[in-house]
This record gives sequence, C-alpha cells and structure tokens, in this order.
Amino acid sequence: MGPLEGLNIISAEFDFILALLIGIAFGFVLEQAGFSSSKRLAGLFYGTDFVVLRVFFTAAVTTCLGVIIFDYFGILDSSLIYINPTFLGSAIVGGVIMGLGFILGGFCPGTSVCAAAIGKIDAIVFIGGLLIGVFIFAELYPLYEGFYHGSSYGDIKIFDTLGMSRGLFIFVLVFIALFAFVVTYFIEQKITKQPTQSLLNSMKLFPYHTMAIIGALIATIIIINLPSRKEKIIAAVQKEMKQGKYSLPLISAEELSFKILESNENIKIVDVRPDSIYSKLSIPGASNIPLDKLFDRAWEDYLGNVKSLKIFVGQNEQQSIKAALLAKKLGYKNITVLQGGMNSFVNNILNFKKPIVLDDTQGFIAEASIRLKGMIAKNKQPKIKPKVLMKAKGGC
Amino acid sequence: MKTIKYLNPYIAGVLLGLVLLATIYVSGRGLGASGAFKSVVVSTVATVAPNHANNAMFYKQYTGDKPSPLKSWLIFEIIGVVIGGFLSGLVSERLTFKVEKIPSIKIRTRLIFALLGGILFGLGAQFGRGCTSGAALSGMGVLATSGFLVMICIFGTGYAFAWFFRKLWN
Repeated sequence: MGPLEGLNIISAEFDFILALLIGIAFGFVLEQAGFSSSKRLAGLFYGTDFVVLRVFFTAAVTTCLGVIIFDYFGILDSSLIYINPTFLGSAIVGGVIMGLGFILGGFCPGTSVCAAAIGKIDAIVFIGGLLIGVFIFAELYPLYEGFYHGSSYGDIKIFDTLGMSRGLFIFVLVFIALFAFVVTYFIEQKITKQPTQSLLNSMKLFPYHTMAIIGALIATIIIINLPSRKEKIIAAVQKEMKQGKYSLPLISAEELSFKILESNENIKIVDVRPDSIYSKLSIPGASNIPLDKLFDRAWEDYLGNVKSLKIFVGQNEQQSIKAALLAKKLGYKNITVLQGGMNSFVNNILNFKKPIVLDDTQGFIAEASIRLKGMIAKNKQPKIKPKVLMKAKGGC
Repeated sequence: MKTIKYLNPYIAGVLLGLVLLATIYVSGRGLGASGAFKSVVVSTVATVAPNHANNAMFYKQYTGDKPSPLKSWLIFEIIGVVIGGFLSGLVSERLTFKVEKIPSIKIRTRLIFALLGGILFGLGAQFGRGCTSGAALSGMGVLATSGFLVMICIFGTGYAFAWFFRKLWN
C-alpha cells in the first residue's frame, strides 16, 4: 500500500529516477496545456484566457477524487500523506507577494522552468529573479523568523476549517469548478468579442460539454459516497458470515497443542480477544491483536510473513472466524482458525478430565494439559514488534 | 512557422491531476518547484561562503551533516520538468529563443518586469512554504487548508493588481 517511499522497497537511486520521470510528465503536461506562455497565463487576470483556472481546478479536483478512490481500493494509505501545514500569517503574506510576482512576471516557478525549456528568454530571466528572491529571503531571515513560524495551525484540512464533511466539501468544490468553467467561457467570449449565445443555445451547441458536466457531477456524488476501506471490508465479512459462504482451514485444540509442544513448525497464534481478557489467560506463545485493532498497519510485518501459519483465536469459533476472514480480506496469507476458539482449548485441553482407561490420544492430551498449564504459569507471552510507518515529509 | 494547438485545458487538467496523484502515491507528498530553487541557493551559498552558511540561521537549517534527500528529490524533479517541457515543445514545434511580449512594450521592459516578478515570487514562495505547485496545487489536492489559502491569496492579489499592470499584457 502506498506511499511507496515509506515502505523501504525503493532504493534511493530508483527514487531519483522516479522523481525525474514525474518531473518529465509534469513538464510535458504543463507545456502542452500552454503554461509556457506568459501571455496566456496573465490572460487569466484580464478575462482573455482562463486556461490557468481550467487546468488548475480540474487537476486539483482530479487529485482529491483520486486519493479517495485509491484509499477505497487500499492502494494508498491516505493517513500517511504529507498535508501542507497552515501558518496563517506567513501563508497570506507569501500568497500576496506571489500574486504580485505573477502579475508582474507572468509566470510561476514551475511554469517558468517549462517556458525556459522551450527557449523563452523572459522565463530564464524570471528564474534568475527567483534565485535572487530566495537569497533575499534567506539573508533577511532573522527579521521575520518569528512571523514565519507564527500562527501555526498544523496539518488542518479545509473541510474541518469550514466545518463540513469531506464529501460535502468536495461536492461543493466540484460544483464551483464546473460553474466557474461555464461562467468564464462566457466572460472570455464577451471580452474577446466573439458572438455570444444564451446558456440554453450553448447547451444545444455543445452537447458533449453539457454531458461531461452532468457526468462529472454524478461521478463526484458516487465517489464521495464510497465507504472507507475499513467499512467496506467489515461489511463484506459480515455478509460472508451471514451466508456461511467462506472456506477457512480449521485446526482443533488437540492439533494445536501438538503443534505447540511437539513440532517445530513456524506458527503464530494470534489472540484477537480484548487485552484485558487475553492477559488473564491465553494459549502459550499467543500474541494479542484485539479484533478492533486488526486494521492497524503496525501488524503488517508480523501477519504479512507468508511462511508462518497464522492461527486465529477468538473466545468462540464465531469470533475466530470473523478475525480470520478480516485478515484474509486485508490480504494476509496462510490463515487458520482454532476450532471452537479459546473455549474449546480451555474445555478440551486445559480442563481435560482423565478417564480411567486412556487411549493414545487421550494420553497425549493428558500430558499436554499438564505441560501447557506449566507454560501458562510461566506467563511468557511474545510481544509483537510493530511495523514503523513514516508519515511523508514534505515542503518546498 | 505553424504552431500546433495547445491541449484541451480540461484534458490537461485531468492529466496534471493524475501526475500529482502518482507523485503522492510514490512519495506521499505533492509536486514542487520553488523548493528546487531554494536548494540551489542554499548549496551555492554553502559553497561560495561556507562560513556565512554555517552562521546564518536560514542556511543552518539545510546545511546539516546529513544532506536532505528531499532536496535532491526536488532537483531531480525539476530537471525532469526541463526535459518534459523541452520534449513537449519539440513535438508541438514550439522551440524557439524569444522574449514573449505584446508589441507595445519594449523587450527591456518585459525583461525587467520578469526579473521583478521572479524576485517577488521567489520571496513569496518562502513565506508561503511553496509556490503555485508545491503549496497551492499540491495543498489543494490533499485538501490542506493552507493550499486553498495560498491559492486564494495568489490569484486574489493577481486580480487586485491586474488593473495597474494592464499595459504590460494588453
């Protein structure tokens, strides 16, 4: 699950190749969009060309919706994404200075690089200015260091700031974007003195555009109503359990005892009962991952080990099966369920009543019962080493 | 010379959004541009005047013993932007050395304002902790409040001052 950089699966060299490839795609799209022309960029402020608004808004909305979809399919862990922190005063001052720079220079840093790449001399001069600007900031830094770090609100999100749900905010954002696209089209027509049509006539004239707008609204409504990945998995497991449509290998309490005592097979006993119950009595060697914490990515290394057999233990069989199904849906492999759960282990093994005449199996159980109780008395349960997940660091 | 038309802005927007999404998937953070320039300035000062870089507060944050991989990442990304922009100009036949301006202003005027604009943008991007790409677009993409705030300030100011500089563009 992304972001890839936090997973330690890409080497530093390959990471730079990815950066280069991303940059190439970024530069190519910016240039194709016409962002290499300062006249087109500045046109935004005079109503002659709204290309910046169109590209910018469409891109932002695409990304917002994409993050939700990626999260839904478990491709991206959105809790690990870098959220640009808000320093109110500094952000406003910075934005205002940048706005002034935009209207004077006709570029922003990304677009100036793009324009310089196709030979625009004004863009090369703009880049020279950028370097001077950064240098000035650096030299005078002590003057406003406090201001720069002041009025800090942390990683706040816009929908929380505005007091609405994420879904509602995205819907409003898409609606404003589409509205702006339509309005700016008419402004552009008027300022560049093209013949204008009424809204209804325009809809007839551009049926595909009208359909695209309606399509975008419908898609947005569907996407913002997607359940989270956790909700989706829980619902799927509940359905499977209700219909009894699942196949999971089972292991009996006797077999489990044999595995613990006699075989050196690589097994992991996962006790999913709450910590308070687990710490009172648990199977020797069992580690504790309470059912409601199964979704934590901290267990990914532990449960993700394909070679070991994971035996899920709940209080009863139902709880054990639920945990095993959740684990399966989370993508973990080699999963087994303890038949009858902890109840069966306690009744059949720990509280084993010796009959007068013992057969081989009963003999083993009687002995196992004593040895397991001895192990429990020593109370040496393993602690899982949680996987460390790094939140992405960012900032320009 | 014939010029090939620009890409439809909505298609370009979706593509840009997908590039940003891919960046977030790979690195967990958005795109950037101004960060690379900061890197250049910091490295230059550290090379030319190492004593100054070791004493001045601003540079000290970036010239520790461990070179920050993030800074190199942005440098590679920006080199990519140059290559990508060049390739796009090549396929669309837009490669030419020129100063783009309206006929009524002098080349020198355009260049002076480009320089001034660059200086302001470089300065502002430091206060804003990123520019139009790193702060506004990337911030908006992950729904950060700062992203929307910076976006509104940049474009709001642009509109507020547009009238004063109309002769530059119209």
